[in-house]
Amino acid sequence: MNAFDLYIIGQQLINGLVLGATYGLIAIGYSMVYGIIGMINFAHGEIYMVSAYVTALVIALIAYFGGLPVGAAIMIALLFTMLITAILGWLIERVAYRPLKNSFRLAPLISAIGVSLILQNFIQLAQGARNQAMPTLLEGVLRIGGEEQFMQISYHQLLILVAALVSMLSLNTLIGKTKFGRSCRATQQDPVMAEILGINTQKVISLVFVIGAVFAAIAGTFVTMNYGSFDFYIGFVTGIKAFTAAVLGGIGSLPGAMLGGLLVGIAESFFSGFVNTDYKDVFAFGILVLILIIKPSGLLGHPEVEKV
Amino acid sequence: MAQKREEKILSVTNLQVSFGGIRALDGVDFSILEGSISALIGPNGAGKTTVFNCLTGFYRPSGGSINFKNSQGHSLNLAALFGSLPFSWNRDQLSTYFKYLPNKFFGGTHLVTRAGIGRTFQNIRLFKELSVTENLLIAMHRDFRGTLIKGLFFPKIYQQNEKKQLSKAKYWLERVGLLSLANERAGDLPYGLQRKLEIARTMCVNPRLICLDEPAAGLNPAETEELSSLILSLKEIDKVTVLLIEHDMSLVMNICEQIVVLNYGQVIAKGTPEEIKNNPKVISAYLGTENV
Repeated sequence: MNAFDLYIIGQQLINGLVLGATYGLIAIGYSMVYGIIGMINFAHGEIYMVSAYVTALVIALIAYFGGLPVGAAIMIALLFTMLITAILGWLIERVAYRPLKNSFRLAPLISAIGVSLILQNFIQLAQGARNQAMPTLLEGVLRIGGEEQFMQISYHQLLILVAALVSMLSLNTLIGKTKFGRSCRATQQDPVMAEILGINTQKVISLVFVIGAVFAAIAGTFVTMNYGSFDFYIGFVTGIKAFTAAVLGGIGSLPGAMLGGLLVGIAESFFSGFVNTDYKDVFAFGILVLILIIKPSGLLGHPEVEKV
Repeated sequence: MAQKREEKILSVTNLQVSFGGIRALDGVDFSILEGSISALIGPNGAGKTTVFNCLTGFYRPSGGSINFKNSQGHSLNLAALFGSLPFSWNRDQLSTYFKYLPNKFFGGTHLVTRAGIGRTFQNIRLFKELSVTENLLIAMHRDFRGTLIKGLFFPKIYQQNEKKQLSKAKYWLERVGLLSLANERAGDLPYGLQRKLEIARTMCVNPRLICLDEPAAGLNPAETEELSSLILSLKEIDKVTVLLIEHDMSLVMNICEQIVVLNYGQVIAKGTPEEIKNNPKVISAYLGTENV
């Protein structure tokens, strides 16, 4: 294999990692919510979509009033988007899940789909159905290799990778080391007993929705800055992909969600780079089917043990 | 001191619970003295666990009330605490209703620890995937709440709290003899030790009343012996009031000062072990009667 091929492979790997990191960040939300209440949050993809719009709005406002360095603008956009989506995540739990806690299991799923449709249509009406564009904030790329053969990673892509890494590590500490993490894990295993021991499980569930939403916002902000284009429908496809990633890695497992995200991203980017762009989704879902046949609980998931 | 002993920590008056047409509890009346060990006994299906479920807010009584003396010495209606107090125009009840109105929205079973009630279940409900120590730390959640945000800004406070929690956990592990197994996965412990760990965990919520639902179920005689000395030490050292449901009559007769017998949702007898042993109603409830 000559150097030219290696560089192309490397380039696809970088693209795949960046794509996978965003899938992973969104998959975290699916996985955490499933882990704690055993249900899928179907409105999660829409949180990602809303975060793209909020980011663009904040950046537009900052640009209008001006006077801020790029780094500060990005930070403010990120923090503000996280705040808005946190409220949105809390609202979704409050409106679509909590009132239906004691009803039959499918009801919250349907109401979450309802919330998802409401958000999509609201954004479509409020912001228009056309593609929205956003200017590039960080110009420039990092090049590895020579003049003719090289691979490159833009500063935006680098930002996504760093953000994914930092947020994954901090989430790991939060769940593994802190008091809140302990109460999360306890609620996941036995909510009734956790209540008896004085843990407000309702609050824990709300916070889990909020954390999932914040992670989707991190992905949404940086992806919007990277691609510079979005519409009211991006939440659906990206949400489904991230959900696939969560299932692939073993739903309920946080490292699994990140691993699944990276796998789906890399598979997609390699397939579209070397084989065919049109069938990249088919390939990604094909891998999901294959892995679920071999290991139904996902790569890092625990097999469901029947409770006696 | 002797007088304080006589104070009632829990009084259940005319408690009624019905599921559809079935009356699980039909006017249950009893009270428990502070610092005593009492037992709730009765044949299967008598409604013992239902009483516990009312105490911890799982069931909403359809009538009657449960009053619990809180640490300030005030009598507290548990239904108000759980936010399930029905609305009524009675002036006294109306003021309690509005006082505890927030609990209707923010309340829930987790407030039992605020009242000072700890509970175990019939089956073992440890957090199996967590370590032995972590199981105890979770029970201290209420004592050290609000530390996450504080901890972000003042890591020192957070670390001090963690240290305090760990030393408390260590103390309880020592009391039940599990110190050497502190880092094991709780689900890997043998059955008898899991029972002990559950009691230690219940004690970590700083309760003043602990309700043990069949603590001796599945234990061998030696383990039952250890259990009864553990329960006695809870009373002596920690001054905790104990209420237990138990089928092991030798355990009940040995350690309990007061026994309440339930049958078909009604209290058929209450008194000291001696009185209960010779009560014809109790004997007939347990052994059945020829036609009277």
